[in-house]
Amino acid sequence: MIQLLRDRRAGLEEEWTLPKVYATHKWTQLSLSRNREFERSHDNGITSMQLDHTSQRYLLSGTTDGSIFIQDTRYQVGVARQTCPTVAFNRGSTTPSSHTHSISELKWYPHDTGIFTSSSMDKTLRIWDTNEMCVVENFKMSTPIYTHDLAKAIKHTLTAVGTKDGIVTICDMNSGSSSHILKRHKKPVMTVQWSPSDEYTLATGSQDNQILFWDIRKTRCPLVSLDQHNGSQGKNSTAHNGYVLGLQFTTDGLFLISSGSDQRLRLWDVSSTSNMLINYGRIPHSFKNQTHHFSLTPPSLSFTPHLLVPSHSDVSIYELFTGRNVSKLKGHYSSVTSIDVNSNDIEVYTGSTDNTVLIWTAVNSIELNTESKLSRQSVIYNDTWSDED
Amino acid sequence: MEIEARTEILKIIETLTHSGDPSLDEKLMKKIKNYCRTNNTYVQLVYDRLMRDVATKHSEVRLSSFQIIDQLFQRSHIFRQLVTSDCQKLIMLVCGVEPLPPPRLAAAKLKEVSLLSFKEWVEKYGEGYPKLKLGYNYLKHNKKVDFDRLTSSSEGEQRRQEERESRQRAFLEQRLEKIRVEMNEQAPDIKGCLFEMESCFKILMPSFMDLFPLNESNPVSNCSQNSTKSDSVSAETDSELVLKTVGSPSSNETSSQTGGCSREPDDTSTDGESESDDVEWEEVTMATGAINGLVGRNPTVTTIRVPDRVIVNKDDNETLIATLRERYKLAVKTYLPRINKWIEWFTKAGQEALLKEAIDLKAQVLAAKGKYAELDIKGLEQEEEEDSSTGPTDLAPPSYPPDSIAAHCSSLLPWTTAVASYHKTPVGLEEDLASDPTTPQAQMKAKGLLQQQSATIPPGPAKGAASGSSQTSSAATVPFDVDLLHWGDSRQPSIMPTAMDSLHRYWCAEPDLTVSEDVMASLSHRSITFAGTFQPVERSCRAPLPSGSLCPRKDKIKCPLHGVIIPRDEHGDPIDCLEMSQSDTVIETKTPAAAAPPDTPKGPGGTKDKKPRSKKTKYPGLTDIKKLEKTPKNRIESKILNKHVLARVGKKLDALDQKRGKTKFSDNFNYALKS
Repeated sequence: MIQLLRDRRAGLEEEWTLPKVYATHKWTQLSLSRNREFERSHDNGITSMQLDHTSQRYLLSGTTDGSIFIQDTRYQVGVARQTCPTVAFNRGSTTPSSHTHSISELKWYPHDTGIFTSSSMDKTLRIWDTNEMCVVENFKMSTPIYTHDLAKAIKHTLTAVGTKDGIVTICDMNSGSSSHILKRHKKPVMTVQWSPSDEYTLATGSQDNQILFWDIRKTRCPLVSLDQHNGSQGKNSTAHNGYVLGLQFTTDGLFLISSGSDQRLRLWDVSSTSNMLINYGRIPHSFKNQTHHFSLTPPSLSFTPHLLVPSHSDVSIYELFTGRNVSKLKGHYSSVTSIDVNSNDIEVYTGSTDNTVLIWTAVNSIELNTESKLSRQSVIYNDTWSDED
Repeated sequence: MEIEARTEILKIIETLTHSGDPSLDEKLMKKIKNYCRTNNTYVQLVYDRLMRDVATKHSEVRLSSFQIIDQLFQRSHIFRQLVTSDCQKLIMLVCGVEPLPPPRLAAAKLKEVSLLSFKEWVEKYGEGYPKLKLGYNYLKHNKKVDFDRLTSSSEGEQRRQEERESRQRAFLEQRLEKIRVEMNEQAPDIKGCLFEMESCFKILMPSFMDLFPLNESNPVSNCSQNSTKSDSVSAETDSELVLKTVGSPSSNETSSQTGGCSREPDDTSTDGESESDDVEWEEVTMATGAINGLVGRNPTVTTIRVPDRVIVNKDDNETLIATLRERYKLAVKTYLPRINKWIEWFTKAGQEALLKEAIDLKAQVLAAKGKYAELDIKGLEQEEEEDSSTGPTDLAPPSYPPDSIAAHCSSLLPWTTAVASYHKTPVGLEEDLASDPTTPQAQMKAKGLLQQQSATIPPGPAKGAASGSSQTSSAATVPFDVDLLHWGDSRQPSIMPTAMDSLHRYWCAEPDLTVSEDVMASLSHRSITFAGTFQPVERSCRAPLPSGSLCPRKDKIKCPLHGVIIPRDEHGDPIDCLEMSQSDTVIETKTPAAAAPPDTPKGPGGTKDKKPRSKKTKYPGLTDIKKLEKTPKNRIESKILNKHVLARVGKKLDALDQKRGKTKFSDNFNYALKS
């Protein structure tokens, strides 16, 4: 770091390098936030979470009973102990519009916080008006929905929905109906992901161990099926030796990370559709029929991207391109199901089946110094050896 | 120095955690604290070691470890940081989130202690250590630990408990309602019964008064109508009474009863018929069944009570007593237990009013019972006296015990009840019965069969029922049957088989009228299975067990574990050495070096004597969990549910199935191909 400072002063390094390297270092120092916590409003295990893209402020979370909560994560300056309040919620099975089964996926509309979508095991995909907290559109599927994803594209407003019967349905929010289906997977589709770079490219992962790339304009067959062995082991291409449970593109859309029930992570080069063969080690988790959500650190806050992967009740942090395990976040009491990163601050939100959403932050050390000045705190942190002993 | 200190710390912790004591040794604890105080690296060491101990599958170790953790947690910041960094693990191991290992007592204490400490920790340090708070919240909200009451039962458990309680409550209410209805229904019956008894008492009392003359102004009854009557009865002479009472009931009673009443005095003259008529009369009263019927009976009794006609009087009393007895039985045998049950339920449910009612009823019944007990003795005495006074009269019916009176009365119907009375008659009465020509005994005696009626004993000693009464009382009896009827008959009993005529008009084959041998045999023979009597085994196996006790099995010949049962002394050593030496020769030749005396306790089945192994347990203070697991159930389970045994049995069953398939369905291609 000192070296870097000197280089920067000498003008050897570019302007953005120093903060990024600093931030990257910070990712390894994440710990449970001492002075910020979420309001305790979830009664059931959390299944899905997303922070809105536009303002990085509102955290959307869904639970196993079909409830949806929106919480405000804004940092309030000058408040010692801060509770992030629940600003809106819809309890499951209470109103006709609310979900009756477990929420499987929640997504904000990429361009606005006025809309969000929710898919559930009750076979419906719902589009919500955030301000009114009511459903404006309801897509009914024939089988339970495991996942869906909203395209970040500008030219279209399509939503890809992965269901239990192995069909990916493309729903159009403009027309309020499904435009077409993509049929190739033989088993339930566990994860779908739009490419951030190409707005017509869709990646889908399924329980038949395959990851397929689709051009949604050409629905007859997928573009390519990813092969973990890069074609060295026959024609049958499988991406994992188990169900494919999670997919995530890097922000630039050049790489794809996949997670499977074989408890492995794989990094794929999108342009060559080849396995990058990076060993992340075994990541134990107990997901089987549930999408495995994981998250990448934002490029604006990291010199090298880091991968935050839930593993049972912990969250492991890996360097994306080396596969090195950097640290582990311990704090939940049962398996972590969802995770999201605030790209404004170095802050991570994790939701777990123990009904809690935790805030992990890297700025605790600074707070600690300020806090230690307080007399009450110092009592807590002091050793109290008595002379009798 | 450093290493020495470390080894000492580890040693101290081990002794502390494996002591098995519910509380810690203060001295050792002080030592650890001192070490931790001097250097923070020791804290880390202690923490690592304690976390290892806390994960041991032994609740006593866990408890001791947690107690040390608790003490250090209160002292050291570093230790607190260490503990809170991996709070999950500690909570899982200590708070009973996952089932705690045995022994149970220690586990329960561990749970209690840990929850208490957690609460304390959070109150004291919760602000500074957010993970501690998370753990607390987790326990509180997810695991539903009630920290105020400190009961950590899972949500399901609590729900189940509530359900059980509500179910119990509902059941109690339902039951109570049922009982309430039952009581409402039956209370009049009981009261009626009591009233009847009361009336009977009233009737009987003056009769005793007259038979054993006492002062005449005895308070007899409460009922106004009766009291006036009885007063008048006591006041006037008997002859007058007849007229008066015959006249008075007709005014307020039903015609049938008056008929019965008026007939009664006529019957008294002819004693022989009195019994049958009495029955009839009884039936009449029973048919009308009401209380006033019995009230109406009052005059009849009093009228009949003429001093020189004792028998009639007794006869009449008898029916009255029978009624009374019946009511008494009903009250004591049926109603009293029922009322007791009600009282029990009402007490359980806390129903004051109903309870009071039930208790009142019970008191009434008990009063009646007491009255009866008082009276009954007199009544019986009186009866006996009367029996002796009347003397043996041929025409008088035999003095049956009153409770068989109904059966006795119905003995007028010739055959159907004969068997019943035959069963019921006590042995001593046989002669009386035999003298009565209407009884089956008499019939049998006519055939000379009475001697052989006790069929199971050889005919030798049973010369007469009277002489061999002691034997007949001990002899087994068999119910009377056709074979006894034909007993000793040299002639083959004949049977007239009837043809089942078919009703249609067409020709049909001549019915086969021969009687099969079996049927004939069943007329003269009876097969009685003799299973012998159960003889309990007195001696037990008493072979020495590895536990030091003696085998308590009681088998007849051979103990399945220790072989043939032989006499043994108090230590379980076989007494008969000859048998021993035979069975032990094999072993002795094999192990000649074993310098054991020839009559060492060795099982007759050739089991080797286990030398007491001086296996020193590593931690003598701890409860041996493995020993706890050595329950009879586990032992048998390991034998019966053994993998090999199961495989063997399965194989055998499969083979049986296959064989069956082969023999039965060999022509079926499915089976033919499979086997």
